Amino acid sequence: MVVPSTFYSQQPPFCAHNQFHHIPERSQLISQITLPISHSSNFLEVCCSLCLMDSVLGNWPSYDPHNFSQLRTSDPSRSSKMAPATYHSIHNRDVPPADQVINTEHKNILLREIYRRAEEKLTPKRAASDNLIPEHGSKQPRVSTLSF
Amino acid sequence: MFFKSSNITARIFDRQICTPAPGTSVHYARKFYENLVPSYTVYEVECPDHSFRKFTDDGQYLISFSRNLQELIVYRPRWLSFSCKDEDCDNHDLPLKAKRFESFFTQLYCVPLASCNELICKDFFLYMESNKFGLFATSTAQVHDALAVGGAVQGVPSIEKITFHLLRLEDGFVLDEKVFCNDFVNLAHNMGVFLYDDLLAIVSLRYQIIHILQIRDSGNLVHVRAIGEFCREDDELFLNSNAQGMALSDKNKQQQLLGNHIDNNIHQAQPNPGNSFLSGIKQRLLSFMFRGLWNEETDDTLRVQKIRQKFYFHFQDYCDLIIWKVQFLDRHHLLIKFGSVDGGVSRHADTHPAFVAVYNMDTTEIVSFYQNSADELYMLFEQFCDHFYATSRNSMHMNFISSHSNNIHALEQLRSIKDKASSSSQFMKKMLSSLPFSCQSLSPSPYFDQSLFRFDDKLISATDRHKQSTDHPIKFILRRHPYSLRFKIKPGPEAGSMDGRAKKISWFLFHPVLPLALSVQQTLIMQPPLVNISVVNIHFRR
Repeated sequence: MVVPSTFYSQQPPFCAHNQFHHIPERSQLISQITLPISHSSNFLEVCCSLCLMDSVLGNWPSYDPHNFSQLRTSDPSRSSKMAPATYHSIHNRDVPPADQVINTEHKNILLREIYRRAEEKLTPKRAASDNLIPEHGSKQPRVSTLSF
Repeated sequence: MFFKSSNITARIFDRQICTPAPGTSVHYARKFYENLVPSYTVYEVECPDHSFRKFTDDGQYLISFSRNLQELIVYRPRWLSFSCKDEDCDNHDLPLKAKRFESFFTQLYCVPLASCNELICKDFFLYMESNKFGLFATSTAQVHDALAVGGAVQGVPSIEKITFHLLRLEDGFVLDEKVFCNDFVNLAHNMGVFLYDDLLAIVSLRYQIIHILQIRDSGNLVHVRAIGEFCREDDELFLNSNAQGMALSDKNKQQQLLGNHIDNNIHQAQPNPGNSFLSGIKQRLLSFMFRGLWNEETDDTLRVQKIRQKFYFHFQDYCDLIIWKVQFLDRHHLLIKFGSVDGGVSRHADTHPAFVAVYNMDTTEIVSFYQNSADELYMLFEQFCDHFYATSRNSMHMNFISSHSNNIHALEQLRSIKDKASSSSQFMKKMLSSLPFSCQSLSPSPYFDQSLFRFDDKLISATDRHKQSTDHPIKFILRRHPYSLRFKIKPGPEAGSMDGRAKKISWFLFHPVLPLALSVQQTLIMQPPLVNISVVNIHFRR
């Protein structure tokens, strides 16, 4: 894992330079460090070695230096796991994306239950047919329990 | 949780300042019905000799038929209007003119519906609330030993002419009519017809067809589809276009072609020369059952054995099943009850085996199929009973009728009956025999709300059926604190009837909104002269 040096060389945007006089020193330190770290290594151990590292969120100060130690914003594989940005409509004319609209289900609860049970009856038997194990009668009442 | 007063003034003040919990505004408003009750009775009201049917579900009209069942008379319910000049009005009795039928009801119109040889079916009435349309039925006499011609089922009686009349209730104008000739539709208590929103399902028992009609806003009855012989609209066209080719082939080849068209893996039926094709709905049903049994086993020999035992052994019985009753579950799904021919028209259908199927009209597929004593069907019935009533979403108050799925007291009652029942399968069969439900058979009156009042189910209930009548008044007791008797409904004369042994039946018409009810008690005198004496009482809040 390589820590990008440019990220830490920026000044914190909202705080006075005097209060965080140690930052330039640290960023200079960090810019010289390139650590080939495997995924199995303990993040805490890595972070302890960089114990003076601040929050990676825009270099803002945090109470405890270990607080955001596990956050890796530069990791490309992680960014894909992040939730997609919520759409906020600026005006009324725009329709929100389909997965962000709550609709009433057209089927009522009784029909949903009937369909669910009908599908349940089909699926366990599909799994059984894959295993090719003959079943000697079923335990649950099915169509076969019809009688005159 | 602080104690809320049951005093009406306190409740009105509470209503000004408190918001009810989400989704309970109707229940909150209904609590006022504990204070406003029809406690005063006007006995033996002199009223026109009509057969009173019911109040419409929005309370706008009272439907009644003339005694000769030829005319429809519609009344508008209204309230008493008279003033009392004295100071102490409550202790005064009502003036005599206030105790007449006309003080409570204004006649709007009288419309002849039935022609000379027809009679109005007095147990049949459906109301379409959104447009204020009413559906009535007239029929000629029943012929019991009708010949089974033209695809008719043997054993089902025939009626020469059944006419459904659609009326605009505001003025009694007849908007449309639908006639069925030489057919049989079970009209008693709306059993053969179901109305959901604007869709009407009429079951022709004789020809085994479910006619789906739409009631348009203009008042026209439009035929949408006919399920029975054919499931999809173009089935008949396809079969007719292949008729020439089919006529030349074998009987077996004919069945195979039909099987391929229907898209189900129907196994070849045992060749039965002399029988025509099974109807479309029957094909769907048999293929669903076959596939269900086939999928249960994975071993081929076991499969064949199972199919032989469970399917082919009873194949003829399954083929002989007929549609008894139908209801809508929503706009696309029907709940169909199948049974044997004997049970279709008899009153005691409980003893005959019956099956219930859920059918999707759009995909023409059977979704599920149960015997009427199945555990699974009973669990659905117990948990979702109010969804089986299939009330339209437009009608608000019809969705608050007490049932054991939405009311704890009704559920406790059901559970106690279940515990006392000797055989659980018999109990389930008895409960499930009410499925499919008849349309608009329950009164939406808040006085039948089980969370407000407790009453004797055998003497009075929300269903519009005749009940055994006694001389004792029927008590309505509060469910909530102070659990006291709130009001009584006494049918029949005030002093009780003269002859205690005569059989008496009574039925009740509760207004859906106002604290107003009509009770009609009929005494059947068996000895000659055979006379029915009717006594009508009006119960209202003074």
